[in-house]
Amino acid sequence: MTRRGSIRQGAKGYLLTFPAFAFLAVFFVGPLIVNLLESFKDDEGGITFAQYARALGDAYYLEVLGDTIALSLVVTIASLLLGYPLAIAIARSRGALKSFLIFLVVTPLLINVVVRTFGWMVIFGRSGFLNSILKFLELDTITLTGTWTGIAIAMVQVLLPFMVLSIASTLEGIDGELEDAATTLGATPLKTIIHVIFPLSLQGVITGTVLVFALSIGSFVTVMLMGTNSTMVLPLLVYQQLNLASDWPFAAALGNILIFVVLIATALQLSLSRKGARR
Amino acid sequence: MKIRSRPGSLMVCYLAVISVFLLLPQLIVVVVAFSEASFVSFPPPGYSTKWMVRVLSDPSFMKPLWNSVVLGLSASILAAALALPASIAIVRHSFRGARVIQNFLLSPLSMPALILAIAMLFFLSDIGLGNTYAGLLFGHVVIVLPYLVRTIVAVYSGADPRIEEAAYTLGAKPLSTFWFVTLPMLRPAIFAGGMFAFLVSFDEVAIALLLSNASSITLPVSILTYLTYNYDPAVAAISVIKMIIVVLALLALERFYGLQNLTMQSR
Amino acid sequence: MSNSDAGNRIGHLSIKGLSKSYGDTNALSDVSIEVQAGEFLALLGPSGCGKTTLLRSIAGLLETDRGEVAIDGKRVNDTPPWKRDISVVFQSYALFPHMNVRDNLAFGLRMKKSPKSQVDKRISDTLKLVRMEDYKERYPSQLSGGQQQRVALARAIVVQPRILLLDEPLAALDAKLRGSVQREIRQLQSKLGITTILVTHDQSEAMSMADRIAVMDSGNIVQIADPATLYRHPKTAFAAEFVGDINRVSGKMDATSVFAPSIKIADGIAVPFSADRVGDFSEGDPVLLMVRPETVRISRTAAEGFHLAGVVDDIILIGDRINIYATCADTTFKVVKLTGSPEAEMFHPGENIFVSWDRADSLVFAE
Repeated sequence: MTRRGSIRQGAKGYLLTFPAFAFLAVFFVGPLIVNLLESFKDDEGGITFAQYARALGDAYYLEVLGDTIALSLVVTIASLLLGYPLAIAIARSRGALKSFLIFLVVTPLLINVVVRTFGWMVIFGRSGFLNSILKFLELDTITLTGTWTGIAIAMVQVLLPFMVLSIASTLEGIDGELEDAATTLGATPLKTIIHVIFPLSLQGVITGTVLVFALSIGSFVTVMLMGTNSTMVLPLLVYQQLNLASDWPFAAALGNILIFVVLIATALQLSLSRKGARR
Repeated sequence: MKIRSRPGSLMVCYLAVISVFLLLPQLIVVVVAFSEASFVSFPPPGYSTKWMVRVLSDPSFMKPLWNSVVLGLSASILAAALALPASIAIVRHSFRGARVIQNFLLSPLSMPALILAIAMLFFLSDIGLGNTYAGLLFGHVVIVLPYLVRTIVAVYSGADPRIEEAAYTLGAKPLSTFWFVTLPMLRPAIFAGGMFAFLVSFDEVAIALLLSNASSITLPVSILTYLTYNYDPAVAAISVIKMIIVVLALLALERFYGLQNLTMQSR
Repeated sequence: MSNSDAGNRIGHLSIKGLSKSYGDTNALSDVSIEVQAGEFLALLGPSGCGKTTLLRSIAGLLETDRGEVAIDGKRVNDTPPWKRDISVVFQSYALFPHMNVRDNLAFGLRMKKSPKSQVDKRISDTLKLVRMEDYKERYPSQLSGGQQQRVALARAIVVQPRILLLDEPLAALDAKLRGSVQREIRQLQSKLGITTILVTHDQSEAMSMADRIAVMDSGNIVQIADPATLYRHPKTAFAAEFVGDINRVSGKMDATSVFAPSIKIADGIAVPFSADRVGDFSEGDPVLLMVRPETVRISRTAAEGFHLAGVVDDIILIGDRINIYATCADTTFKVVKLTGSPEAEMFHPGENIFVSWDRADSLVFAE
């Protein structure tokens, strides 16, 4: 009777998940498969690796790929360094301060990337906020719009909340008494953070790092609006291949390379968190 | 410990800098929206509401705004209808592969949206949905579905299964139990997840950029295209209107769910 | 409560050969119990003994592998929980969080389609019974643990179930509250006369509330008896140790003659026990000897006949009682005396003493 019961439970489970499952199978997995097939298709309908050979054999495309990964790494590391103390502050504060800090992190998430990038354009523009201040201080003006530095700063602001939220949610789960124990055993606050808190929050750090990396490697709006011809990233290149050159198979191949990079990052995350969990 | 009870002075400095960093772009946009000048500069030479008035009466912004609201609502409702039974099954019916299915339903989160958009473009034209509203809508359902699944699963996992059992022993059949007990218990989660989904769709650029057409163009896309050709306070003004809508939605969310619960579950 | 019709609804429960296993573990193996109409039965055992599994299968929340559950002579194995007329008070109370107290009580009445005219009155009467009539409009989150517990109880009895199941209902209450709530539930049960089954791991709770106690151990019912019998004549070492405090000594069956049966423990000392416990033992069998601490006598001079010589280790005052620990024949014995009694005052740690007990108080079990 048990067996019958559990089979019935199982059937019900599959039945209830079926609509969502089927929907994603068609409209999420389906497109990715079509995309994959498209990238291997040659003019006669046969199979070819020409698109990939073209993408990975050309110095320009390789440089763009390299720039994209480098930019994403810089943005990710900067987000981690800037975000970690904020995550600690959120996890350890109470009351109004905590509410304010959460507001601080969540609000940017809900303001469109386009709008925030526009804000940075105003800040970094030739007669923008930053230069007004520099002029007021009688310093040389600088133009960050169109530079990797400007783009990276804007992207860190866009992606920082994801890092902070990932780390903060792990830190919230750490027993506050552990810190007290470390302190009573003679550890200074900094040492407590390095030897007790950081190792315990590693899971959140890994999640946040991979999330920010994946998001930044796929983002194009900031570069599209703030960049110039010398600042090109892969997603934007894919978009241009599609829109301007209408070269679908090549766009598909470039897109799959990008997905491949994200998959490697995700696989790295999985193996790292397994290692972390084993300790 | 110090940072726990009272932040040190170093921490205060850091928090001040990071607050400015995180909030400045949005604040700048708000100020520029009320600029008097016909070009973007900061600080503006004077203040007026002329850009706000212009944008509010400009159908090339108002139409996309309306499109975004409609698209966000329809995508959220459709995704909720798919996510609710799936989430309930994942939490309560311990069937083989429930965990795998849950991860699958969350997987669109980790896909670069632009690449997904390109893939959908190929796919939709292959199955005859190219350049249709349904294509755009389904694309957004794919994107927002994980948010609903995550919220509902998180809330329902925390609910005591004995509550439904109590309903059974008090004479409620499974359907009555679902209708009078489970659904009301999950209402805040559905609402919060739906609101979250709406905000994600409302803000989504990549899929809308490739799958929308002249009549279904969304607000973020119209701002993006406007910005590639123009650089004037109109963009700031429409952005402020968008922010107001988002803040209102957020206040509603806070009322029903509590902001603190929005911190992501690290699973 | 207007339980004019309650009399004929009180259920008689009969369980025959009920079995349930999860993989290799037997949660229930061939369990049979009869619970008389109006009786208060406690299922007592450590966690994992199967008592909650048994309760859930009575309620119909769990399907069993074999055996029969019958209420008033009717087999209910295939009756779903919503048709069984059995109410449950859960350990977590499981109140509907989105309903106030009144609606929590009304839920069952509505589901069972009670006449609308009666609903309000029955809710009021039941809330009065548990002294919660002033909290009708409150939501569960606005109530204390004790108040939630009463509402859960009220919600269970307002539908006038044939059987009331209590699943560790007091576990979440603090110790001070527990005693008074135990008495309240007991009084309520005898007033309403509902057949009640209490699941608990707390022997004092079972002893103070139930008419009969079924002791369970790894899926089996070890013994069913009224509290006094269970305490004085436990059938197994498990039951003896689970109900109340007890001293245990390993030994060998020495003499099985019905005239002077005895057990040999360390140092070759023979401990007498009463003839009705000789049972199936034969000489040389390894056995466990158990003695309740309050039946052990302690003195400075050796008693006539059986006694053990030893030394006082420790004396601990526990409010109304004093525990004296003494080592005799390589075993630590616990002796309990009332605070203020002459025996309680006269000993000191390190002192040489003698302990003894009546042969009738020697409990003997197979090792």
